[in-house]
Amino acid sequence: MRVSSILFAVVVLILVISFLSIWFYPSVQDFMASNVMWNGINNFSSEFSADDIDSLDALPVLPGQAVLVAIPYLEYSQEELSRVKRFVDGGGTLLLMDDYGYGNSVLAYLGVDIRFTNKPLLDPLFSYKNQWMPRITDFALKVKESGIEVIMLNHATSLTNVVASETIAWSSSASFLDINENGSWEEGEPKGPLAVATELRLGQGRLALVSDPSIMINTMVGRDDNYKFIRYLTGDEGEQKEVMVDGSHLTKAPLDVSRTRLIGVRGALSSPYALLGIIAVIFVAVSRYTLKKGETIG
Amino acid sequence: MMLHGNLRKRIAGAVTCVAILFMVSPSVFAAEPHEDPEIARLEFGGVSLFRYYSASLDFVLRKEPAEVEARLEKIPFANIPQSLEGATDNFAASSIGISHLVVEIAEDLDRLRVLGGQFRLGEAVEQAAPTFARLSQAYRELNHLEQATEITGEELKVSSAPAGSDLRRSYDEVLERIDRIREMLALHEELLESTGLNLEELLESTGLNLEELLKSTGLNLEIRPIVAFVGDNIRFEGVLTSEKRPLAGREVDILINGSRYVTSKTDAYGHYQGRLQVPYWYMPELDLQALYYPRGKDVGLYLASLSPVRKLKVLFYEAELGVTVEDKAYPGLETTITGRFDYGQSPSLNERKAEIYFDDVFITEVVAQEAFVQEIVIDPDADVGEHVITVSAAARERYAPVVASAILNVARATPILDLGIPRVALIPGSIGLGGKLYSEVGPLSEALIKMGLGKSQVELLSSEDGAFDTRIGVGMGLGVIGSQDLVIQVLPQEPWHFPLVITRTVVLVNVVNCGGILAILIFFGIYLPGRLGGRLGVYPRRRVIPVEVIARPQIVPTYSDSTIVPSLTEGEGQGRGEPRNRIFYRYRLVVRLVQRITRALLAPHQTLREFAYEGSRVLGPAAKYFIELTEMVERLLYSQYSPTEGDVGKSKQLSGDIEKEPKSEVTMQSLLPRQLRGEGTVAQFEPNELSVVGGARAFELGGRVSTTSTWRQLSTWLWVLLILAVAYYACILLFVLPLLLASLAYCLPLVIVDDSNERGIKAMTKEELKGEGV
Repeated sequence: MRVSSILFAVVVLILVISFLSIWFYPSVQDFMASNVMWNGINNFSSEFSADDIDSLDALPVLPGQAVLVAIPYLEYSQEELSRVKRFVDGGGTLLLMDDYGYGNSVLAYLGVDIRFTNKPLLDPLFSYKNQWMPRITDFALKVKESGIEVIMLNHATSLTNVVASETIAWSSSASFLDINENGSWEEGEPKGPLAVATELRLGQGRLALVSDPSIMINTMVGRDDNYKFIRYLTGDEGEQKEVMVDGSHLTKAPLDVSRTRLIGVRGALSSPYALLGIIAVIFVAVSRYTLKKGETIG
Repeated sequence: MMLHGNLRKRIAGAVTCVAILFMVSPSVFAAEPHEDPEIARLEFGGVSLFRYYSASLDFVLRKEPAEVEARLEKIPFANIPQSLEGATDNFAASSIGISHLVVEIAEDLDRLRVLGGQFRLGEAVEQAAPTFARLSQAYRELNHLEQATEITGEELKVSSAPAGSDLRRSYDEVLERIDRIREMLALHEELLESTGLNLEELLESTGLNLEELLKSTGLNLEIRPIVAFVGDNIRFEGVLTSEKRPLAGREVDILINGSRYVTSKTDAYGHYQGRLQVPYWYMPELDLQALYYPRGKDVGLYLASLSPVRKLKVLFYEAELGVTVEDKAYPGLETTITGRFDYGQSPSLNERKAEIYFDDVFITEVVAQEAFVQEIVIDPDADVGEHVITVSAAARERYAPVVASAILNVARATPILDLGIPRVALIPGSIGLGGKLYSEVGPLSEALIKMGLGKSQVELLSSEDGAFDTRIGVGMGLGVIGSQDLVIQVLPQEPWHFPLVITRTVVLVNVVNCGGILAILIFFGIYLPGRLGGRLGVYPRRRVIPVEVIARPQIVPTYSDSTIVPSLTEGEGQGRGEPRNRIFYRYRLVVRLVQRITRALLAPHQTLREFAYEGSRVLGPAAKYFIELTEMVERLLYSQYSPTEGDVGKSKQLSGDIEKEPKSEVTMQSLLPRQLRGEGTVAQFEPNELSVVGGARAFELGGRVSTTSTWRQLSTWLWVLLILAVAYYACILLFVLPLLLASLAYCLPLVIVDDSNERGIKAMTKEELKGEGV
């Protein structure tokens, strides 16, 4: 066998193994729908039948029954912000969940005064295991009526410039905002109760803000009343809406990027023209090969 | 070694680059976005717990029990070690208990202060007993509180903490609050005692009895009549005495149900009397008492006295009010409330005012006789669900007030959409969408209708009668045939209508893409097989059994598309030419013959030899003669060699062999061989002489024996693949045909009814019936 043939076979083998690995190896990146580990949102996606969208182009034209879950860990472009605004103005629900990301740029574009403080919200008393996982027990009446008693956050922040009537959840009076991030309260640091969730009408749609996206991850979604709370946020008068998770603004590992591209390529190749082209290429390639080799193969 | 060295360098370089990339890449996060709760480290600081305790006890001191309760009920959600759970529970329970007790004690003290001020010592003594009990209970709770705090302090090793530490300070703050509560209770105790209400101790200390200390008083009360209608006047009278002597000029209060109603003054005989109107309190019985307590100069001289209770039977008319509402009401629309007063045996009122409330919000007033019908408008912002309609008729003289309620179900009407939508649409183009919007309430006028189909969107308003008509454009795409969701969102302007979102599926046929694919299919299915088949030679590899092809050349000279083929024999003028030219002439004839047989043309870039070798693949045994003739021609072309008559003869021989060789394999059609033999200088092909190709094909395959099975050849499978692809797309297109036909037919209107609410109600009813065991 010639060296070129061996090299060719090795390259093909490597490619095949790579593709299979990319396709089947589970993601370990935060908030990835394909991540079944503790920090993924596979459970959330399954429970809420959420669509993982990799581009805001996939937003529906008539978003009245849609909820876009946005975790802005990557900055939004002006065009993307414009799409998000159109989505909300058109009647969609934007559930913006952020702690230390770019949520404020989205809020600024939407013309909302509320901001994420982007500083850790700590609660040394009402928490799970340690102060970084505060438990929220103060809710607006309508939230309480939904059967929500306590939710658990994980490395959360808080909201500022909120309107009391729009706020739906507050941290306890034992909590504080760790401005200097030294893990303990010091003079001048805001003390609880601090707003952690709010919802307001915006255009024809609704904007819901939660100061911690981690309530969605696999290990958190089932804790306390987190599941009910998410259902409340993604529903409308008890009716569950169509949930879409914006995966395009999450930090991704190379594996996730490759998988995304592979999925994109698969999608592109499944179009009729592409299929036809593939058949043609195979046909022509093998025909040429046959012509070169002689008359027949095999 | 060199290669290894380079490889190592490259790997090292790559690793360095990756490391630098990681280092310089900006991190979004100032903090970790989350941690795994399962493996999170357990941390507990008692400082926050003690501070929370202190803050809660501050609310005890501020006498705000509701706040204390709200704070301490959350303790189960606190991050507290298991060993402290009992103590924290006790602390919470005791704090909540004491917060209520403190308030009750304070209220008792206020009451006692009033009684003491009026020298109503008997009542005060009665009142003091439960107050003392509450104080004792509060002390007990406080002790539990302190105990729970101390246990917590021990668990958290507060004693070993430095004096100025946060833990020690926060612990001390809790104890300080407890001490302050204790001081507050002690103060209450002192107040209780300082009011002189602990009479037993007082009298014991002075050695006097109550009568010796203050003069007792006596008071009686009589009323007439003892049965009266509300609003009627009754007489009351009585005598106030002290030590059997009348007390003149003293004020006596008449209490009705414990409250002062009127005041009368005693005359010189201690007698008091008067008339009072029976209050319009529509209760069957009233308690009347007369009260004297020392005022002015009597203070410190007389004790207060209270007459025995006199019962007054009160009469009034009662009515029953029945209220009925409609089964369903809509926000923003009127609904009818009907009511009827039933007075039973009592005389009826000619006119009676009644107020109508919607969830305790006053709506309107109606003046009714026995029955009334009133229209009210439901608040456009009213929530969907059950609301309470209350009709309240105020009391009027002898008629007691009457209130009745009914549950009104406020709902929004679900729009019904009669939509005319084609089941199949063509791309590019537009889809006509027309229909009508209505509901059980009426048409949806000027409702905002948004329709989306893929990336296309259209917005419009419905007309007054709910009708609408529009077209939505359908843009190009990569798809061929498929269904696409048409999303229709209806936003009614009337508050009594629900918004509606429905999705319908439309089959879209992209005629441009279909045409394109058809063209490609034609290319694949027709052109390529012919083209590649010729090049590949993908014809049956088995030996062809010679078949006599009977050709009947019929000379039809009138055919205009005849082809002139020169004979292989020297034509006129050619036979007498130079040997070189004669050989070339003969070669050209042979080349034409070969071209017809192989269906391959001599390309401009192709040499004669290449053409000969290419042609030889299909010429079979005749190939060697053709190659030999080609070599001869090449020699004449590319050298100084002058051919002889012998060469001419040889070329004739070779061309003859080319003609003869196939004869042993297959019977050629007549004309070409005839020409090869030189029969006639000019001949004409007739239309059916195209079968020459068939004969030539037989000629070309004659000497070739397949050594490979057909199914083992890749080309066969390629053909199978191609056929399958063609069949696939053909099926798609065939499937489209009926749909296309259907699209041409009139599109039936499609009625879309969102009955989810009704289904929900049915399901609920079913559940209820199940629950009731029906």
